[in-house]
Amino acid sequence: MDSAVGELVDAVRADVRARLLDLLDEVTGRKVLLLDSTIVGPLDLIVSPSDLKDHGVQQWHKLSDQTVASDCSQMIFLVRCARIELVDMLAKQIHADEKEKKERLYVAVFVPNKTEECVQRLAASNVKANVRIAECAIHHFPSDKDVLSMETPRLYHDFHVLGDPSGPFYAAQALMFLQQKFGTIPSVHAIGGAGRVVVEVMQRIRKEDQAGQAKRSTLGGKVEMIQPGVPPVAPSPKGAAAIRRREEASQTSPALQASASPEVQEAKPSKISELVVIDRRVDLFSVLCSQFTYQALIDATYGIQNNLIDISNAAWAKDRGSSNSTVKLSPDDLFYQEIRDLHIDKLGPLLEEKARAVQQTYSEKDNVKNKSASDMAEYIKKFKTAQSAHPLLEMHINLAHALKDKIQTEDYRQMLKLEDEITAQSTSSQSCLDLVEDIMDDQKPFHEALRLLCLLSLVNNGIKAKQLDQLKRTFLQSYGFEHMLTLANMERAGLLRYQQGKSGWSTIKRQFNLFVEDAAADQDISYAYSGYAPLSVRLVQMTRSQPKGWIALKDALSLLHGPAQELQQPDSTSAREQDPNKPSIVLVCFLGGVTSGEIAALRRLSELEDGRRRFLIMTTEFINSKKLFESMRNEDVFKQPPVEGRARPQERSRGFGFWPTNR
Amino acid sequence: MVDRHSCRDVGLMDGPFMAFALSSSGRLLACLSTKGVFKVLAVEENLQVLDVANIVETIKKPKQMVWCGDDCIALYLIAQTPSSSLQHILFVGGPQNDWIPYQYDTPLHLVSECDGCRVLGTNKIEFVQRVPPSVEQIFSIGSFDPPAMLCYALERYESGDVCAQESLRPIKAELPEAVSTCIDAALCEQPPHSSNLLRAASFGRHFLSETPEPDRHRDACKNLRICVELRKSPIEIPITAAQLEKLGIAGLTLRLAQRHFHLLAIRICEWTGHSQEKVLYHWACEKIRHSTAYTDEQLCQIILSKFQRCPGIGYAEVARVAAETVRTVLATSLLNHEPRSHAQVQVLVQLSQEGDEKNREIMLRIALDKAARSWDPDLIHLALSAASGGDLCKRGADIQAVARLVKERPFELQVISDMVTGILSKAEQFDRARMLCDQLDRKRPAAYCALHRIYRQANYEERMKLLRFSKDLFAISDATATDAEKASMQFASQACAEEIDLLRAQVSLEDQAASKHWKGNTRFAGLPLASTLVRLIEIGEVVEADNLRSQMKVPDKRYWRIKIRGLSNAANFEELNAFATHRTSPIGYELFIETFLKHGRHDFALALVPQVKSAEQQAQYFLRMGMAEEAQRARSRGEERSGAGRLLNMFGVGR
Repeated sequence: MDSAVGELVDAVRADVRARLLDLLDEVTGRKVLLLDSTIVGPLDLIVSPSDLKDHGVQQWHKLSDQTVASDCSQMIFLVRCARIELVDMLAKQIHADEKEKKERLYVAVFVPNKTEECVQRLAASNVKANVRIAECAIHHFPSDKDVLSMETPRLYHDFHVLGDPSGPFYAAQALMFLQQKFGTIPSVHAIGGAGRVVVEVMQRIRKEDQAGQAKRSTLGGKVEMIQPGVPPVAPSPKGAAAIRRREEASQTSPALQASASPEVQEAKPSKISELVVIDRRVDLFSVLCSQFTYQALIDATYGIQNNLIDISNAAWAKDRGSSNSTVKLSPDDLFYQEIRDLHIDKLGPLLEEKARAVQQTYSEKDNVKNKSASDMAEYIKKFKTAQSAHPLLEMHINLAHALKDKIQTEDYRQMLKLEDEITAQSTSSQSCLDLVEDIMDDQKPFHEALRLLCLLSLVNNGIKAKQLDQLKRTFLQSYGFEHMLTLANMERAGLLRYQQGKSGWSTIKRQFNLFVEDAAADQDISYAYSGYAPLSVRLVQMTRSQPKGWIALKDALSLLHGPAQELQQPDSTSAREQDPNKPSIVLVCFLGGVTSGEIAALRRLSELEDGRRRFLIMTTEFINSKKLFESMRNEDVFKQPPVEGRARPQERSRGFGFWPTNR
Repeated sequence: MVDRHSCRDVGLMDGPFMAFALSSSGRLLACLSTKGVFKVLAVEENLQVLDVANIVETIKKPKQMVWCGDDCIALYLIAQTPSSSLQHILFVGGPQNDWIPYQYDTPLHLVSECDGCRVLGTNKIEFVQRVPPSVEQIFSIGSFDPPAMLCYALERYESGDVCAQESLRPIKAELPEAVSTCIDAALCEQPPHSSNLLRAASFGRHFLSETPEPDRHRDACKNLRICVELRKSPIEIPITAAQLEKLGIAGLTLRLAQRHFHLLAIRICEWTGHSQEKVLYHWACEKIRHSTAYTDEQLCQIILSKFQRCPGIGYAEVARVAAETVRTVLATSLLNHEPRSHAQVQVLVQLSQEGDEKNREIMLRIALDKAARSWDPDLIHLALSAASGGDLCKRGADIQAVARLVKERPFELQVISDMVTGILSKAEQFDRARMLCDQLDRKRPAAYCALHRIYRQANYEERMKLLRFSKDLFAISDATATDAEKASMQFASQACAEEIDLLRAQVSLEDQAASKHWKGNTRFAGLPLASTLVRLIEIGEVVEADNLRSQMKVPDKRYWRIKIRGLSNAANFEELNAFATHRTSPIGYELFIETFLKHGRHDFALALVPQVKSAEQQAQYFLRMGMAEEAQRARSRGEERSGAGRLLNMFGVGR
């Protein structure tokens, strides 16, 4: 249905694939590929293993502390330039090879570009001389027909907690890459601190590019003569036109001419008409609130990684005795495409119907026995399709059952009730806090407790100092002192705060119409969250639904976190009228991750707008509340050795097991 | 033949050779052997021999052998006359041609050009060129070729002959070629011939319905005009149109610039529409080097006023020159106009490595500022490593310098200090990170940096020390902090104090466990309080748990939940049941029932179900124990659920 968007995504995939394979072809012969751990998974989305084999890759591994032994004469490292610590692992591998006297050709490929820092680090590790340094502009991994993911996790944490601007910076580069490919996007909306950085970087890169382009065009390209005084030589009509044009040109100043010329060269019609950049911090609600589409629930329960889920722990999978512990939820699978965005309530009947259809096909077997050969052949065909769909259908039915069971447990219902009370502000915050405290007391998964606590803090614009201290103490007592850092991170990131001033939640709710009445909710974008319309999607909706775009919403936007910006980028084709029947494509860029619910809501929004706008989603990662809070946790703190008690010699002799066995 | 990759023998006969010459197009190679065999080889076609000739005259090595264009060879020989004076002879010719000798009295130097050969003598310069075919066509005596006819027609027309057109009639068909040949010829000639020829071309075009190559005519006029102007004093560059074509306007203007004819170069650029960038750049560099009278500001104004018309010009490179001449202010103000951040910061960093301490600081400050504004992590890193004098994480790195620079403008350079803290923390250098934050008066981050160290310390005594240190750091009140920040700091300090108490208690528990030989898992240190209590109850040390609980002031409700978990983990259901029935539960009975049900102890669970408040919930429990009737009864007792809210409504009441 989204063929226009699909084309763009396919173009990006083809481009990235070509870049990667060209890179592999640059060194001939057998090679081993060592990959950044954040690239290994999504690499699948660009190239297939057989592609790699065809281009001489014998084996590929994750780049880690463990060195890899191989007899290939070439070794290619594919590393993100932002993850500078990987350079050390790279150096370690080379040193290990040297120790074993292995001669190899090393190529370090930095994604999306090489940086001074990486080169310096290589030099510092004493391996720069043996390594060829290259770069490969892989910005996106197309994870769906309308989703481009950068697969750069933890942007929200890095930017809002650590103050590291690299996340938005690389996102801006990725956006520039898209614009180079598909033309300058004329209208840009951005909101939030990270959004501001993205816009600033984009403008700067554009300015630099233009300076460079002006240079190139005046040097190499053919430029109209702009000085009067050239004798008119051509009497022919064509020549006359040329002169007239020249005269027009001569009236304008030379500087103006020069700056205009690159634009003329660039005259590519922009395929994307609008860009909306949304910082995750602006809309944390959509991450914290529960979502009920099929895909969102799968993600919340099993965790979707690169379109794969691990079901090795699921009880129903064990019953099936299937050997495969992972299931691929491929975006190319038409059946999954049909059901992934469905509300879980709508899913049951649909699956039932499908199952019945298969069943019926099977039972028709007896009827066709006496029929003609052609009927028979037709039936066989039908039977075969039914049979091939069967295992997939069965899997989905099992999965859906498991999800339904989960959301009907008492615990889950309690949480939902609490979430409902928090967002509706229907009960006092104290009673909500008591319930959150109970969750902590039971040592339920920490992200569940924090999800509700943060939701409460966001809705009420903070929590009273005394109450919050109490809650934080409870949290530490239940989950450990290590979480001191988690709490501090959350405070810095704005997830948790001491109450300051009145809450703007009810105004936000009203202004953006976040809660839709039940009757309308089924059709509205709020269906994915069962009544809550994701704020981010509302923001996208309002660039069009409001007569003047965001400017009309100034007051409402000021309630949200971070500055909102609207700007027009100079675009040579903006004067040209767009074909009104052709849908325009809107690029929605989420800095800090997008949820499944938001994707579903955006798809629904496109339908609601009668397909006038199609949405291409670019995100730094896929996020849910669990991932969000895991990113808030300082992982390395939890990997430290346990505290030793006072020196006790007899214990020493036993060794240092974390949990010594019975004594 | 030797090239970049290999060398091989091409098997040339008649060697050895004493002179080689490559034609200016690079297509032809001429070689002359000691025996006077002269060969022309085609370079592109694998050194195929095109022509061979014997030159008897040259038995000795020529002083120079060069190509005149691609047409013929000029050989320069020095011969001794019988009167023992030296005679300089120039032979021009080639295979299958007669060699034309020219004699000179003075020594020569030959320069091969694309269209001929320049002969530099002591007193004069001559230009030897094969007469181009176009010129030959027109000016050879008695030529009736179409171009010649065209010129003749023009001559008749200009002299007022009304029948001038008659001369054109016979060449009507060839007129386009004639026009084009006239242009060719014009390009090879000097005024006034060239202008006559151009006029002829223009005249011829009037009789054509369609103009062939209008651009060519225009370019020819343009190039000729440039050549003519350049020939004049004071420039006096005798360049031909063909040479100009080869050199290009860019090359020409650069040459002019190098001769300090900047204005003329700019004018030519303007006139032809070429980029002035290189000329301007050259001009600016020269200007800076030579105009010592101007102040930095004046110079900057002068340069900027010229640079404005040329977007994309490299301000950074000019700034580098300015810095070389120790014009710091000029360099920095020029850099401000550089749109490319990379160039900006790189030059600044480079500049900071030169000059005195004061200069260094200024440059670093600007570099940091520019880097911060670009948001480019690589640039920030570059500026940082320059400011700290190397790798930030190395021992010798000068964090102080960074702190000093950031402190001047803490708000704008927030991103810098954040990055440094991040880099240091990543390298686990928390102490240095803390000191940096301290210097920047950022109390809260400083305290958290200290906190990081605690977790990496496994030794109990050391850990206690660090905890106390953190506690004190958090307790320092910061007058400038907001209320929220103060509250947060205060809480953190308290939390540290509580952790100290807990850790002490845990270690003493471990001591007790060792001395009293408790069974089960008796590692407590570092566990959360709740887990410590659960574990105590698990191993049956309930009294200790009660003690610890009252010591740490654990609220009743929480302790009940902990106790249930502990007893459940130990599978001590009798005890759990006793606990449930002993006193009224402050947390309801759901948790008890859930636990019993999970472990299949329906007997205990059943007794507790009536205690559950919600009838619906009761029914659920009955159902789970397979008692549908009781469930129905319970449900009918309970009133209808109402107002379940947004999220619960969707499941429907009946389920």
